[in-house]
Amino acid sequence: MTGISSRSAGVILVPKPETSDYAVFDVVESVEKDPVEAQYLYSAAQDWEEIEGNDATALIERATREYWIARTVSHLRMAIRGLEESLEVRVFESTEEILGSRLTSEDVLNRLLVAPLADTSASVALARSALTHGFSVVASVLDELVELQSLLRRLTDHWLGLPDELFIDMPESKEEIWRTLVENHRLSDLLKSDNGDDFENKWNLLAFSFTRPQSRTGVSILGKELSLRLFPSDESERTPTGVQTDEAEPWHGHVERRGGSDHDTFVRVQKQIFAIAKGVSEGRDNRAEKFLRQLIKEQTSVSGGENYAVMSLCYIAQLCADMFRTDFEIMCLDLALQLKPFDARSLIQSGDHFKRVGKYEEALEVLEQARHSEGSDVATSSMADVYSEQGKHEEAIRIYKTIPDWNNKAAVLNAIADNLRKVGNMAESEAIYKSLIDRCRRGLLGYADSEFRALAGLAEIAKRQGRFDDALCFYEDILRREHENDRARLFYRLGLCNVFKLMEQYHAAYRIVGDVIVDYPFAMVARFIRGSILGLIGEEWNGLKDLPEGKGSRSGQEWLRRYYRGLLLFKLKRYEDAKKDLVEEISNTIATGEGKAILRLGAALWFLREGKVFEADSFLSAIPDLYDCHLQYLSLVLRLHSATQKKDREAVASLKRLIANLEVVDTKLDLAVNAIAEGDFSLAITYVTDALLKIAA
Amino acid sequence: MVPPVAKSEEKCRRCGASLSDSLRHCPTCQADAGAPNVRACRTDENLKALAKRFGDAQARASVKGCLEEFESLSRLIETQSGVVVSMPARMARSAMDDPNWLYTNYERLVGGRVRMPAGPGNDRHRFGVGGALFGSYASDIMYGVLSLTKMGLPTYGDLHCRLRSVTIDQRTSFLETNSYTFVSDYSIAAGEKLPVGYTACWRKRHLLVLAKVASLLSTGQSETDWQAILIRSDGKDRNNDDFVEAHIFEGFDKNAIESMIKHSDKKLSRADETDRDLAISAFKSFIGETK
Repeated sequence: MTGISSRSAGVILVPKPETSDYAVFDVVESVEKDPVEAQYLYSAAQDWEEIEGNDATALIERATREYWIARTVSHLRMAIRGLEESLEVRVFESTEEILGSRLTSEDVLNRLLVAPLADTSASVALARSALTHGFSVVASVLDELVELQSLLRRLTDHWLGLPDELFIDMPESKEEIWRTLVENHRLSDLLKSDNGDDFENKWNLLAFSFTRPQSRTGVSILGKELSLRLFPSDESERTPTGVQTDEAEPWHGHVERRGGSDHDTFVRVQKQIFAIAKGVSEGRDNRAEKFLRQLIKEQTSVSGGENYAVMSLCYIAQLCADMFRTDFEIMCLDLALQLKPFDARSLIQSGDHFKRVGKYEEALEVLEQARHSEGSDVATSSMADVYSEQGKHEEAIRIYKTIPDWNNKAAVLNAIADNLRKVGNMAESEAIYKSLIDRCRRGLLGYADSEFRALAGLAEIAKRQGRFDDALCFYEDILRREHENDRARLFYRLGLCNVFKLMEQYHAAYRIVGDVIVDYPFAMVARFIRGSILGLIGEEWNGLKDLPEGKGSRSGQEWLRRYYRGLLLFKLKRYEDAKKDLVEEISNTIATGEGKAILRLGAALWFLREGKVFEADSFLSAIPDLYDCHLQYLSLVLRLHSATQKKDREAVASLKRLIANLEVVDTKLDLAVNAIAEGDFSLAITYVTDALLKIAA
Repeated sequence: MVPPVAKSEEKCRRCGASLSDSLRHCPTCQADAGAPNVRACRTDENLKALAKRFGDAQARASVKGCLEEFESLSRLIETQSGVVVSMPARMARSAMDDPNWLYTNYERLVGGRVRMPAGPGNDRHRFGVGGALFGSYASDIMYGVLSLTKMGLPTYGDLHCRLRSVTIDQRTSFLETNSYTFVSDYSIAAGEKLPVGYTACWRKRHLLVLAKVASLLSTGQSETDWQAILIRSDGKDRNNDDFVEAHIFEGFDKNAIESMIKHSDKKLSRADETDRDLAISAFKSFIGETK
């Protein structure tokens, strides 16, 4: 079926069935126009075109899409030419909305690439403006448009230089072919071709847009010719086609100040920060860096603005830490320290960064510097955290106790209680938590914020002791109440989610973690947990989407991604892939104490399935004392598995006795024990795999 | 083979051959004979009838004691009136964005390729209006309204574009009212001769206006009142519109636009509002560039 569409008028003439009449359909209003009214339809003379579709619906859909693309491209073109600020912002708003609903950024970007920009500076300025106003998607499109200009110019130069003879046998004109390329293909992808072959492969897809054989042959010849011109030498000597970045700009200096109230500024900065974080999360570091540079320039352009810039940098660094993008995190912190070399917050965050990436000496060094600036107590406490992270809990407790008046400081007491819990001193730990709760409830000064953390500590003890109902009550009690510290609430929600997981209430757990992801889109731990829940409910493939292969730097808690990913792959019977995450990467993973023990359990599982009991044993024997009843049970089941496979009767009997003395916290593990006893190792492994997926450190 | 053309009594000033009523150029020497709609208004018969209607209107105004207003309005129309084309916001935005934009009507664009949309019986009649008035060149006619200000008809678009007189005065004619109303009121069928005295060329447009509105004049009226008389619309239903219709032979580009303003009362969707404001903004820049 052929319709006639006008992109400027936003209408399509659709043939009426079994007649030679056409209906006039308004694609903007989604209504058929009155035929009389249609008589007054005016449009640009040049934009009526025939379009093909299987039926009227397909025609209307295509015309609608084309209208919105044309409109969005037109808006951006007009904005590039220059608009007053308020109108520019409305264009951003409308474009952002369309790009979030009707179209993709690629749709618009590819059309904007129809010809090189006469002057890229206007687009650069517009991208900055979009970002400043918080329209990150628009900013990204414009930014990419600018980035692709040099490649586009190169392609169009060669295109225009192609000899006319190449087009002689083709029914379509040179202009028509170019238009088809721009409208039906991902020109941006074509521009980013790595080499001649890559270019030709992408170019040849264009042939599918032509029906005549001579057109298709001609298109293929054009592709070869262009490929030769664009990539004249072989691959090793080819001209680099990577995206060119702008010349480095200074990080701070004068920029035009934007108007608006303090609130407007706050909202704008928030949006800018979000755009930067989004860039980092998508791996678009150049863009994120560019946006970051713009933000810092703006903030430092006013007197005293360095303080705000440092605050922004620290906040972005925190977001990067949440996504385990420790490389971008440290870049932000370095910048913050360049602006204010003795800023306590930057120093303490840097120390925390070094702690998470396993550079403990450097962490202590930076925190030592911080101790001499404003926040000495926090710095000391952070130094203790570094020891705690290394599993040196006694040393950590010793350092906490060097903080003046430590036994009257809620945060320090909580930290001490946490460390006591980790070394298995549950009674003493519990006593401190309870004392903190009591002090808080009595309204003692300085304890107001300590109750939630202490309750969470009690919840974790309950969880480790297999008292899941108690753990649930503690977390629910925390979350029922108002919180000033929103970030802490994130961890309590995840804590509750983990309890539900252990109780096999997966839907409740999934709902909580889903909400957390909505509220904290950059909190990767939440995604990892969701991935594990999906694995537990039989949606391993979906779960893997939350557990992508790691690309960024390694840091604390990132081990969870490898661990869960490995188990999901294991469940999918992709054992070789699982091996990489469960076994091979263990030595490179930063994890201590309980985390390391969990990783070793995962590795032992992998070897047991392979029947390699000695390798499994080497991991199991390296597991230290465990204070979590679920982990203890798991560890014993895996040892039992190994001993049974080895037919070590004495060990089997001993392990069975030990297991019998434990309270059953996971019925699947009990079933695993039975399966092992019956020699059904495969079934046992199935149960153990799920039990391992339920673990959440 | 030469396509058949309607013969006219008019002769080509260059070669003396008979001109066609429906062609702009002499079929023999291709000399420009002028827009056919304008030539149709300049026949002696029409001019005489128009002059008579004007004279009668003047006499009535005199009896009513508002001859002064009559003459003032006549002068105003002669010196200040122009043609305003109203267009949807999206169209105006597209016009201002595209350097090659050429305003033309739907009939002309699609008429050659597809049949006109079919509708109920009376619509078929209405589709015949263009043909009844202009014959085979109906698809070359763009419609506008005569206005004393920059405002046009809100029922036809969100933006009013007043055209530069110099770009259209040689190719624009006027009809006393909406062409549908006119064809319907006078029961004109295709091929029939039109009633005379109801159309005017650019230079005689004041005669047409005064012949039409003289009965509505009263003492003490000013320019504002006359604009309200000249263009009457409730902004909702085109059937309630009353105006002097302008017929422009062939399209125009954005260089022909003198002013572009929005209709202040009209409620638009957010998308249309953005399109409208973009069009106005771009128009302002465009005018700035060309000055």
